[in-house]
Amino acid sequence: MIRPHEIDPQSFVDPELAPPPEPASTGEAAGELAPVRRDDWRLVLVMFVFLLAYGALAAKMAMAALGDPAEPSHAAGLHPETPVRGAITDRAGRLLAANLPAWALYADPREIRDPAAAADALAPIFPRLGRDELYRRLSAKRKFVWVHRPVTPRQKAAVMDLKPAIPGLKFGRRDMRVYPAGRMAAHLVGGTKYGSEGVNAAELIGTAGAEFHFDERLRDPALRDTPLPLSIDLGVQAALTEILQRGIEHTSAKGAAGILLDIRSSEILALVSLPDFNPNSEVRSVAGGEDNPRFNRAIKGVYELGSVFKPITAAIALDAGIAGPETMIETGTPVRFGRQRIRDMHAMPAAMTVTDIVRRSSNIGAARLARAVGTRRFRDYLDRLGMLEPLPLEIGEAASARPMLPPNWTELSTLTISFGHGLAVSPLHLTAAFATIANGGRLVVPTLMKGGRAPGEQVFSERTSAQMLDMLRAVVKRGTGRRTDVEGYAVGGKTGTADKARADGRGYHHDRVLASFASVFPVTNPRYAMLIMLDEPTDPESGKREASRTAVPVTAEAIRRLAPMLGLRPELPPVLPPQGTEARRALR
Amino acid sequence: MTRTGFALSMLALVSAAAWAYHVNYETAEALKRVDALEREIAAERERIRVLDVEWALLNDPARLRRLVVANRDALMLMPITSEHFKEVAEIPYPPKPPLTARVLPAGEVQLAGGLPGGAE
Repeated sequence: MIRPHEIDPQSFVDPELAPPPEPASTGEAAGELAPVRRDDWRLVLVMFVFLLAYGALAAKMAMAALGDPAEPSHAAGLHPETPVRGAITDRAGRLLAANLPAWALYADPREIRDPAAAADALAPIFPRLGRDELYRRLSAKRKFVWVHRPVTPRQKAAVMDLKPAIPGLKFGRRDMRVYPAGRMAAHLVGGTKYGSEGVNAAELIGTAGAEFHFDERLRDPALRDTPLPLSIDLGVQAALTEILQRGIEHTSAKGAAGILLDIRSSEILALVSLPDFNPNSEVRSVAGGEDNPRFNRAIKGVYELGSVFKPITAAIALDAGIAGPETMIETGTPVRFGRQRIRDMHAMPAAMTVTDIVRRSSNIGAARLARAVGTRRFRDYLDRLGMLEPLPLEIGEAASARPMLPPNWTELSTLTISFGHGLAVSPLHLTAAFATIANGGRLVVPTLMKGGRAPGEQVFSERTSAQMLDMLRAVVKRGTGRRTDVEGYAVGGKTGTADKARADGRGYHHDRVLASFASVFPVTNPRYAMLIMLDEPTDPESGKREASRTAVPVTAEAIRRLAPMLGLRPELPPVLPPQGTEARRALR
Repeated sequence: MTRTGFALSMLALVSAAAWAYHVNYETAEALKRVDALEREIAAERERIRVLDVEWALLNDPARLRRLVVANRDALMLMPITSEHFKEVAEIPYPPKPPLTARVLPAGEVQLAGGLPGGAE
């Protein structure tokens, strides 16, 4: 390349040359001048040099003009506004999980002159770290240490206000995951942790719940601005939590679980496990099993739930054509299997209809029905109901909630499973089975996705479904579930009181029960399935532990509160007021 | 002819160059403005996100519940139950205001309130 200043054009030009070559000389001019004088080759050279120089300049200008001038500023990373992780909302768009812009505090320990004083100053701002840990970090022999992350805006302000200021402390941008709904739905939403991180950004990776299951969707750059709606209704969730909390206090229970399922769309509207935790403040492992508040009883816990299983047995018997609702079954004598005898808790009549077996909760009757169905067919029905496999629910823990089957499924297993012992399933499994029975027999597979999913295969016939709804209604009208007969709502359901299995695997506790009530309402046009389970409750008035005195009143309260929230109008005969004063007072 | 043609084409060349120069600068200016606006939008988006979270925190059901209990006397709110559903026929008409009569300056009598036997 020849550049103009390398060859000084003036040194080549003869002084007597009158017209100096114009810088704007063209090729045409060069061609004209060349033959005039023989020894003017120098002039041609000069013009050629100028031509090259200006040509290069013009080319450079053209390139600068044609190029994209905005490119460098975009590449410099001046737009950090895209959240690193999408938000999660409930079905109405209320935030369950979101990101807040926050900071990360890092330091160059070589610039910190007095690490001890710096640690003293920072300790009150970051109580979780402690002074000694801060000192260890700030006195490290490195160029870079993380001091604390994430740092909230308030903490940042506190660090900035420190007098005297500490040199060497620097802030980087960092997104922080917050859960505005707090304890509500904390079990479902789950949690996150920081993944690989740089100074100005870090990945947020889901570790549990929906955050884990939908991790890829939430981190997908194309979808980060679109929140992910779950099927949960935050208002219903809050009301159910409150009711269960009161139930726990009233019955001195250890814990509780509550599930509300939309039968038609398979959506989970509320799912509560108590005790719960605040995902914003507590960072704890899931270790410790059932006693850890992070343990989700409704999904992860598998229990032998007892008599709530009997409607499933009855439905199988009806659907298999073994019996009708009014078929008489012998219930006066125990069912024998080898040396084992299955008896009832209370004396039962010599024979009862299938409806009465469910209504009065007869173990003998359920076992006889199951024996008539036969082990293979019974097991096949349970399999089609999804009771033998983990549910495909959209949270991280669902896959590990595997039902506990008898290691060797004998006829005795079938007999005990018929009344809810020998097969441990999660409360959600059972709720789904009730929903399937009420849904005209079409399989309901619960989902957390807003919009739900279409009902699956026909497990039971429509006729079985209708007969079962009548039976469940009878339990509430004239059986163990009388206390759920909420005025205005046709509730059907079944109680279950199961002795808890001992943790050491040697039999059952005799003074600790799981009391549950599975319900469907309204039975005239089934919309919702609900399960309430109390862990080790006692009715303070009677001292009894039976579900009819513990789980049933809690369910009644829940339906009274939740049904209006769900938009269900009670079917009440209109009370025409003489002057309407009473009605007006009620409305006020 | 060639001279004027040359002059004209030179003029055209110069004006085209000037125009191109002008447009180039205008584009650069516009791009700078776009950049500034984009940054402003980004800042606004972030503010919206923060406000969304704040709104959600303020509407936390547990917090609302505490507020309803704390302001029971002023708000008189209670959970909705099945007893709050009524038929329209169950709601009585409001009592009629007492009948009043006023004599206007023109001598007319103006009646206000419920007319005896008025349509309901």
